[in-house]
Amino acid sequence: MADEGIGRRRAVFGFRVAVFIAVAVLASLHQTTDGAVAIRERSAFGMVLVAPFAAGVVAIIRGLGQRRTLHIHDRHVDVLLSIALLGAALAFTALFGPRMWWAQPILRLDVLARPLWVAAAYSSLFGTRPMLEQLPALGVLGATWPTPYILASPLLPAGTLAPFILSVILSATTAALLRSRALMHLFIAGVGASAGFQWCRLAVATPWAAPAVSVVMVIVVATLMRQKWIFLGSGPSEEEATERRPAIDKLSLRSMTPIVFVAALVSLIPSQALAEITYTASTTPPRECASVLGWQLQGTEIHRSPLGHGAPATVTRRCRYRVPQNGEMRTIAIDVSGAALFTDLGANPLPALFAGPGRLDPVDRTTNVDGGKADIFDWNDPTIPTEVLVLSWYARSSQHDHWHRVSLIVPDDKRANVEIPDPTGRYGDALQSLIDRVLTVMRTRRDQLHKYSVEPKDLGFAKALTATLVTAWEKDPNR
Amino acid sequence: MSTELSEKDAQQLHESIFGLADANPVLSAQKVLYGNQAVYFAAIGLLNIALLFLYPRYTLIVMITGLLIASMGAVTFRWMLFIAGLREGSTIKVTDEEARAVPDHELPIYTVLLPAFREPDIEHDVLAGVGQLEYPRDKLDIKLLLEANDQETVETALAATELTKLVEVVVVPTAHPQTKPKACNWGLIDARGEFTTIYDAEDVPEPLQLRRAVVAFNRIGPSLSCLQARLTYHNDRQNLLTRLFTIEYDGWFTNLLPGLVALGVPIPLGGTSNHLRTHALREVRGWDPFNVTEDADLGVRLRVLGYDSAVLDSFTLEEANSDAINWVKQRSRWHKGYLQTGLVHIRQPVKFVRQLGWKGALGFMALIPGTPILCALNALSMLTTMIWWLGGPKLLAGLYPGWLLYPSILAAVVGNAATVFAHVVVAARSKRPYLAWTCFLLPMYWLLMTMAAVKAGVQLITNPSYWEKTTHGLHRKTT
Repeated sequence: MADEGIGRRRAVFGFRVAVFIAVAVLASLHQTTDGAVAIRERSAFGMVLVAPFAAGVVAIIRGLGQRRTLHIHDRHVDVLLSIALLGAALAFTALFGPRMWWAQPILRLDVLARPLWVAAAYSSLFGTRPMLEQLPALGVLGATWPTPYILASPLLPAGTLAPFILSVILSATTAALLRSRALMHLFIAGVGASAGFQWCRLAVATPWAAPAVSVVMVIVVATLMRQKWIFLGSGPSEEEATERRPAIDKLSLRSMTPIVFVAALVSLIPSQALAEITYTASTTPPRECASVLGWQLQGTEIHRSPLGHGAPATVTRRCRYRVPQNGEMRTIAIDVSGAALFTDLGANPLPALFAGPGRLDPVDRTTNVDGGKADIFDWNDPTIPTEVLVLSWYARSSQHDHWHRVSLIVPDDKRANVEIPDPTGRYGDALQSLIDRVLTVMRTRRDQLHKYSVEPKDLGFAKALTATLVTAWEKDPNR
Repeated sequence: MSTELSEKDAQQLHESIFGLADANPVLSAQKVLYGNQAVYFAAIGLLNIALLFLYPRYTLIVMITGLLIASMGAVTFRWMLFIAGLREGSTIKVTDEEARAVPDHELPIYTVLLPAFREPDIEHDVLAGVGQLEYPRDKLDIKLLLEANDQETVETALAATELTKLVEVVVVPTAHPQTKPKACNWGLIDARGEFTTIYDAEDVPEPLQLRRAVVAFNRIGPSLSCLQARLTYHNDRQNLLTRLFTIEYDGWFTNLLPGLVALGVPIPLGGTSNHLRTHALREVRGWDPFNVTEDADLGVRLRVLGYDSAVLDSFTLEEANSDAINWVKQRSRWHKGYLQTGLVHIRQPVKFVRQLGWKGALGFMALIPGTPILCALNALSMLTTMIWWLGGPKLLAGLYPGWLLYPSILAAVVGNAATVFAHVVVAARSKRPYLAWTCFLLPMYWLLMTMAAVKAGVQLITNPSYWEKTTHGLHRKTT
């Protein structure tokens, strides 16, 4: 009988490892397919390569034999630890992230906070000790934090979409390694935490949501207390703790299905709503803008170039475009560097980190390559091609997109307001100055302006910005 | 209270529980807040809340300043204790020769109280510990105090032949509060010894400890009513927590308590290995069964009634708590007890200062209620430091004007460095140099202390006399 039990355990364990590795390998293979190229170039989907290694680590940890379990529990400790973890997660997501805006695309403290969310939920729902037993899984969740990969491998495409996909994959596959009950716990806690995570992001982006978050949290806590899963007041005796634990263990997936379903919905909706605001604008490469302008991307190269401002040399990406100019197609090259693009480039972001706010220009230089000759344009050079200026402006604005309030007017007279909070108010003048400079240049290049008409149905950020220029130009009495 | 008790037992039980409360209700923790204490605390709380609403910035600045002064005061006080504790003569030393020189017939009867609850290995523990004491058997009055509702241990003890030859098994009737001091009071009523000491069942006292205590009592004279032997741990290398706990305990017993004696501050007695003159113990009405650190409270009450206490250079080996949750439970009880003791003794502040002197009263406030309060507030310090690091100074700039900022930074750096340094010295003096590196991890340990302090604060309100049972024998389960 004992041999059968051991054999069965090994088989289950082996099956879970196999599932984990299969999913990881599939995920790795996915990025090599043509269909995923766009995602790969714009995100850190390459980080999925880490998954098999993570799987190995978790498998070894889980395979270290029978785990010791002490039946010492304390609900006060569970609640206090949850509050501390929750506070840390909230701080990382809602407070430190936006405050560290210049480094946020690189640091991605919100992603780093994900294990904290899960740990907090797990600890409050199932206890500190079971949570500690899931540390390997939490560690794998933490392994989706992109910064180490960005720091370690400048040539690896990095970004922001993949950590989310990856964390979901790793959560599920790690859970597959755990025992059935732990799997269910992790799943419930993970989905719940993800919901909380998304709610929090919503609260950050839309202040009206903050009271809603509070109400939801109060309802959840009240429900849990009603069910005696959480009890404040006097600490439980060992007997009480023992009596109440089976109640927690009786949780079945079926009984939790409605909660999981609602949590999953909550988790998904804000994701879509916020994706444009929080991610797309900050990570979309200028290529998108180029396509608006009718440019054709010829290719990209990675170059080392000085970042300026006393910062050491860093990696930049040079994009070559075919652009219509004066009735001919010419080739220009744009060098792009800066924090907003580091996650996209996988370049070494340290200079950007140390440069700090106000010292980093996302686009420092533009290079016009035509027939093998390269001209370097200065920002203050009035002869700078308008396309380059517009593109640079876009790139610059995309870096600062969270901090401006830009009113956009589209050609069919429909007004679209893209409201982007500027809590510091520091960049309004700089933006206005930039607009003035662009308009000054455009006044000397008015013959080219027909190229920048936009379709009103498409209010993408790049197009809208271009439209702003056009509209401003049309209303400019000095043109 | 059980209805099946004889009249004598009922009377003895009443005396065990309410002896102190009947004789001197002001010194009993039966009521957490006495007289107008609740009104005063509520008024202070409401005033603070009102000020926070009306003048949030200035109120917070005043609060932070108060916290800074309290922290600096506590660090200075501890440093004074550290220096005083280093001086020769701060502990009473009795050589082996002196201890053995007392003829057996001149040795007094010594009562040893052994309270135990749910200790399945009771026979092994007692025989390996107290059973090894080098003291004539006919002069030993060892009472194994078991609870009536702990039938398993009672049956195990009564069935253990070797054990019953050594100890008198005393079954204490079940009654609220079910605490160690209540059991000790029950045992004290029938104590035959001139001196009384208390050990936990699993304690391993140094064999000559009772003889050393007798010599020390005879050497100092009747003014000395209490000797505290040094408690230390045998499983210090088990894990990081036991290392940190050991270094803290060594600092407490080898340095801090001798320092308190040298400065004339009442010493909070340790839970075990305190040796007392039985008549003095009876005069102060034994232990307070409603106080969950009855030992610390007893040390203060002895001093209030004019009895001296000292530290004996002898050790008792205990088991360091090796599990974090178990540790928090134990420490929360200690913190709660310190808060109870603080609230009890400041009920008549003028009288208290008159009895102890301003130095003793200040030392008491800094050490007894001050320890848990500062531990809890430590969370705020850590939080502000974290916000400072991660969120940028601007978040806190309004709360930390220059005159407050620089002393705060100085206090944080110097205070932490001084504490770590003191513990490194303790490691060297305790002949445990291998623990020196552990001292640099003390901030992690302080996080646990903070959690325990918050739990203690909550439980003080919700269940003040609840005794958080510490699970013993974990080192055996894990080895």
